[in-house]
Amino acid sequence: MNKKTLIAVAIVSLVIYLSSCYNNKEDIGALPRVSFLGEVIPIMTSSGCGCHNNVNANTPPNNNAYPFTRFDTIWDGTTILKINRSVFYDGIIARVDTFRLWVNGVIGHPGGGVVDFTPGQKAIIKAWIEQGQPYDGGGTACVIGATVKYTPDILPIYNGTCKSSGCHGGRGPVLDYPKLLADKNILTAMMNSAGSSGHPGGVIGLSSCIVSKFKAWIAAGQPQ
Amino acid sequence: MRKISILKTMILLTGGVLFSFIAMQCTKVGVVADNLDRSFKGIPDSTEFSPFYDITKINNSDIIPDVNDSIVVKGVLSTIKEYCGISTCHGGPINPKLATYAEIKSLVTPGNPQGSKLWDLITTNNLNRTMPPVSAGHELSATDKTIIYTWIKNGAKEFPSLEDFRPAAIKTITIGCTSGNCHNVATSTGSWARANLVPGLVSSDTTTFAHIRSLSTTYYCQLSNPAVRNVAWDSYKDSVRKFYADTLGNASYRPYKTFSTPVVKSSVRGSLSSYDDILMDISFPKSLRSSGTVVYSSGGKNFYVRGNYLNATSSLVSRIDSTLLLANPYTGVFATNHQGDMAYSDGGLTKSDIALIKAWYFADPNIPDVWKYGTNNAGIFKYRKTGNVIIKR
Repeated sequence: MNKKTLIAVAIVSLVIYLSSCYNNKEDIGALPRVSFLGEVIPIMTSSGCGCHNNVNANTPPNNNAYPFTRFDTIWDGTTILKINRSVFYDGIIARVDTFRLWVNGVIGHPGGGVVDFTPGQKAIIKAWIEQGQPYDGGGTACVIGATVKYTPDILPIYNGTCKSSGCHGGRGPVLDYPKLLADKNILTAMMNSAGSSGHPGGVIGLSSCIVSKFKAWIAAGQPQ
Repeated sequence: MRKISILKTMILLTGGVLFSFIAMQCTKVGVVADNLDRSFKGIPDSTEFSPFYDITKINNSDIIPDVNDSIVVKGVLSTIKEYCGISTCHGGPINPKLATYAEIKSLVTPGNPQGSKLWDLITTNNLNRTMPPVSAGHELSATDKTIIYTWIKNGAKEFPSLEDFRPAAIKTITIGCTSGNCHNVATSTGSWARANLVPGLVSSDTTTFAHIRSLSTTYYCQLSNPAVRNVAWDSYKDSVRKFYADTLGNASYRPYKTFSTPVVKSSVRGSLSSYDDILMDISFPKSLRSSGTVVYSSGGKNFYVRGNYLNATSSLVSRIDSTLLLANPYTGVFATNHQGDMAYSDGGLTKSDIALIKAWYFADPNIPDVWKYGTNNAGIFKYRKTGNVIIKR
C-alpha cells in the first residue's frame, strides 16, 4: 500500500465518518405521544363543536351540549367580541368513554345531526385515548387528600367550574358554604349521576375527579 | 522508510477506529428509537385549512381589516420553523435554508406529497435520512403533518384560494350547524310532517327533541326516518328551485310547506347539512321561503313564500358576521342592526372561522354575484365601522 493510497483511505474514512454524524440514531427518551393540549383541545374547541363552545354571559347555557369552553362577550361599539376564553379541560377528559365509542364507530355524535369528527381527527383522538389520555398540562391531575375540605378543595372547583357569569356567577344562585351544606341532597344526587340528573338548572357534565372530590367531601361531613 | 511505516500504521489505526465508529453508529438504533414510526397515520383531509402563512387577510376585508377579516391558523411556515428552522439547523448554518416560501417550495412537488422531498424526509422511517433527526426528540404531530400534506396536495401555493377555502368552510358549516335541534334535515322537515303538510307523513313519524336551557325548554319535532326525511327535503329543495326559476310558469311548485295555516308549530330551521343545502339557503334565504306573514293567496290558500327571490332580509354571511350590515338586494336598503348572533351565541364560531367562511363565500363562483354584491354591483354588505360597502372589483 503506497503513501497515496493510504492518504486516500484516510480521507475517505474521514468523509464517511463525518457524514455519518448526520445519521442521528441516538436513542430517544420516549416515543412521541399525542398532545392533549396541542392536538385534542384544538379539535374539541373548533367550530365543528360549536354548540359546546358557545357558552357566554349573554345567552343562557345550552344544556344539551356540555360546554368545552366559555367566554365573555363585549360590545365595542360596533361589534360583539368574544374575550376571556377559558377551556373546561376536565369536562372534555370526563367524556373519554364517549369519544372512545365514537371514534371506534360504536356510536355517533350524541347530539345528532351530521356532526362527526373527520377521519384525521378520529385518528388523533383514538391515539390519544389508546396511549392513556396524557394531560400534558391541560388538565389537573386528580389528587384527593385524606380529608377533603370546603376551602382548599371544593371552593376552587366552584370558582373554576360553576361560577361563570352564565351560571352560578350570575344567573344561578350563589353557592357559598352554607348553601352547599343545605343542598347536600341535591349535591348527592348530582354526584351520583355525574351531573346528568339532579342539577336544578338542567343537565351538566362533571368529571370523575370532581365527582370523587365531592363524594369524599360529603362522606366526610362537608367540613369547612 | 521508517517514516512511511509509522504513517502507514497511524493511518491504518485511525481508519480502523473510524470504521469502528461508523459501524457502531450505523447499528446504534436505540431501544426506544427502534420503535419509532414516522409514517403518516393520518388520513388525507382537504377540509383542514392549511395555508403557508399563519395569517390570511381575506379579499373584501374592510379598509383596515376588521376583527372577522383574517383567518388565523397554524401554517406551513410556522410548522417548518418549529421543527426545522431553529438557529442551529435550517434556520441557521445548515443548508438548505428553510425560512422563505421559495426555499420551502423548492423541496416539494405541488399536488404530489408522495413525490415531494420534504414529505419524504418527515415521514420516512429510514433513520439515516429522516428529518428532524431522531436525536432532536422533536416529532412532528399528526396535526402538523396534515398541515404540510394538505398544503402540498392543494398546490403548495403561497396564498390560499378557493380550493383551500371551500372544503374547510363547508365542513365548518355542515358539522358546526347541524347538531341536535339545529340546521339538520330532521328538524327542517319534522314540523311539516307533524302539521300534515307532507303527503303520507303524520305526527307519529316524528319525534320530539327537547332543547333545554337554564331558563326555558323548547321542543322541536323531527322527522325520524332518514330515508323519508331526505326524500321530503330533496323534494322541497327541488320545488324551491323550480319555483324561483320561473315564478309564473312554475307557480305550482311554490314550496308546499306553506300550503296551510298555521304553517309551523315551532321554529323550523333550514338544513345546512350539505354543500347543496348551503347553496340553496344562500340563493333563496329562509326569509323568502318562510315569511312570517301571508304574501300571496290563491285558491283559498295562503302562501307564506315571497315571489321575488331578491326580496330577502337575511343571508348566511350576515347571520354570522356582526361587523356587517345587510341590504335587501331588491330594495337596496341596508338594515340598521347586524344579525351576527349565530357566531357569538348559537354557533360558537371564532373570528377566524367567520373570516374563513367569508373568504369562501366571495370566492365561490357557485354563489350568485347578486348575493355577494347586490344588483348592478350596488353592494349588499356594509362594514359597520367604516361604512365601506363590499363591491366587485
